[in-house]
Amino acid sequence: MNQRWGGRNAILIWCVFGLVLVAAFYIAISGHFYSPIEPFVGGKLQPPSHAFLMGTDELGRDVLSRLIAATGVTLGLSLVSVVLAMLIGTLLGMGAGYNLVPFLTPVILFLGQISIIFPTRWLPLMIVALFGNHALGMVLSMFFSLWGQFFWLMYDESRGLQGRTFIQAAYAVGGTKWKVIIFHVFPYLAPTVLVLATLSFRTAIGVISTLSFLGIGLQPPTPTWGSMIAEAQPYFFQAWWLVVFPIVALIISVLAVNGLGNRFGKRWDVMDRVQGRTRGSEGTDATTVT
Amino acid sequence: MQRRLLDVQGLNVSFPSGQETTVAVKDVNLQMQPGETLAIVGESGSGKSTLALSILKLTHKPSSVQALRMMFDGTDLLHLPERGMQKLRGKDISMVFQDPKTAFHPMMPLGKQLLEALPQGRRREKRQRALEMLSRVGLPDAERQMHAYPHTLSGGMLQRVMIAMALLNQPKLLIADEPTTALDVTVQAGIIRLFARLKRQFQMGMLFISHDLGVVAQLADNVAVMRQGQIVEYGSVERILQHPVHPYTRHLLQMAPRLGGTLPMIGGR
Ligand SMILES: Nc1ncnc2c1ncn2[C@@H]1O[C@H](COP(=O)(O)OP(=O)(O)OP(=O)(O)O)[C@@H](O)[C@H]1O
Ligand SMILES: [Mg+2]
Repeated sequence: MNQRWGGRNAILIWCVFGLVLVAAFYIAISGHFYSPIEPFVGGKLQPPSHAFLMGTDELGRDVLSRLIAATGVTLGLSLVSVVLAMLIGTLLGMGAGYNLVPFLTPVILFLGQISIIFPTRWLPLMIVALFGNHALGMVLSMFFSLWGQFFWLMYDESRGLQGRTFIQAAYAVGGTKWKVIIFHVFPYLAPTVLVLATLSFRTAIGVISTLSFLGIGLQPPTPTWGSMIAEAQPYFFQAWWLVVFPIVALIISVLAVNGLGNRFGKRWDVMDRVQGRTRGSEGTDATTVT
Repeated sequence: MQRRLLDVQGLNVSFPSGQETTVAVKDVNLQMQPGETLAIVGESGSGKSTLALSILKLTHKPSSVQALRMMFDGTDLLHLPERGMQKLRGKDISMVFQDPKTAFHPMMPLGKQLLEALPQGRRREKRQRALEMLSRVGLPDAERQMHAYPHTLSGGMLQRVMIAMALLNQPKLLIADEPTTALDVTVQAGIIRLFARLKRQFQMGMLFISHDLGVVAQLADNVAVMRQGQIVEYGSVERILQHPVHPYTRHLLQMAPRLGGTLPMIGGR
């Protein structure tokens, strides 16, 4: 029991959780509601004070409100992309692995190849160029950076499983193809997929933050962590609070997601299978932005 | 004349891989009467498992299974579509695999896997039947083991669970692919005795695969000796043990240490 909720990583995660809760509660009762995009609700570049807990930016906007909005945007869009990549990658991977629709399998495999021949850092840029820098473009660019991992994981694993005795035994008691896939193959692979999803979340946060940081992400005034950091750069020496808070938010969430992924991975003993499949962790995560 | 339980003629199984093709089973003929135990004996790689799986049409793909005739209890397996095979598997023909530790889904409680072998029906009744069968195969503490995961049981206990699972629907033919090879020697004897008892109680046909003639002597009515995909000698167990014709059979007999002591009938050779 203690083991499950203890450990240094877990304590960090719970501390962050608690802090966020306390902060949300405080904001709710103290009436610190400002619009994240409304300029001049306060003076320009005001340091943190009781009225503006995280200060104001160069346009006199409330940094705390902007950070909250940015968190929602960044994490929300990342979540949508990861879920999409997981569903589509998994479905196509199993479809191709089991040759469910024979004439489509070569097409799917070709798409799968495309997803991994582009370096992770180019693909998002190309997609934003194609689809524009709206929420849709963001989601698609994260999605396309991620889905291939799920696809190849599922493809390899579902093909590997076909030779395993317990799958053969499931057929030997009269199981149909679909029954075996749903009740045996899928439960066997689910933990692996979930761990990969958690770790992909880290990549997704990295992609959206990098795009925003480079100025080709969501356009102002919508805040994201990346754009907040980018916009704050000129004022780094005058107004540390503009840079520090979004960076802290970014680092903490990447660490928390990473910790969670590793934890699940170890708990379910699937780390070996996931390892080496998370792309982009070397280029597009927090280190590029900071 | 009684209807044959199994009648296989001219069976060939091959695995194509790239340029060359491995022929695992070559021109095999087998006949079994209802209630008969036929043992397939042969060294590792002689094609025993492939032969067994081809009867269930479960050979690993890509593979090609061809035969002149493959009849099971009046059903033509050769031309039976996959749906028909699914109805047969686990009901009329069931299988016990070599290594029980790899034959169960590692993340699913045993009870759930057992019930899967039973046809649609009320859960309570299915559970009751499974529990009954578990106690018939001599699994202690069956109620608790239904909730257990495979890795918590010993190999011998797991093999009993798999045997129970195979017998749930009272099959006409039970295929046992080296059911004791993966087990400790001390456990092996118990499982063999279990097979001997179940065979009498269920009056089912049994295709018993082994590389140990000592085991075969205790169970089989007839023996087919396999080597490099072919059956080199086929006959009643007494005949094979007492008057083996093929040199390979004699070689196998010499390799079975237990035979000399336990079976007085092998005098001549
Ligand atoms: N999926 C496969 N693909 C290619 N070749 C195979 C495949 N399965 C079996 N074979 C080949 O068929 C031959 C017979 O294998 P099989 O497993 O039937 O032997 P066996 O008699 O059961 O051996 P063992 O006693 O080790 O279980 C071997 O030469 C093996 O290499
Ligand atoms: Mg074998």
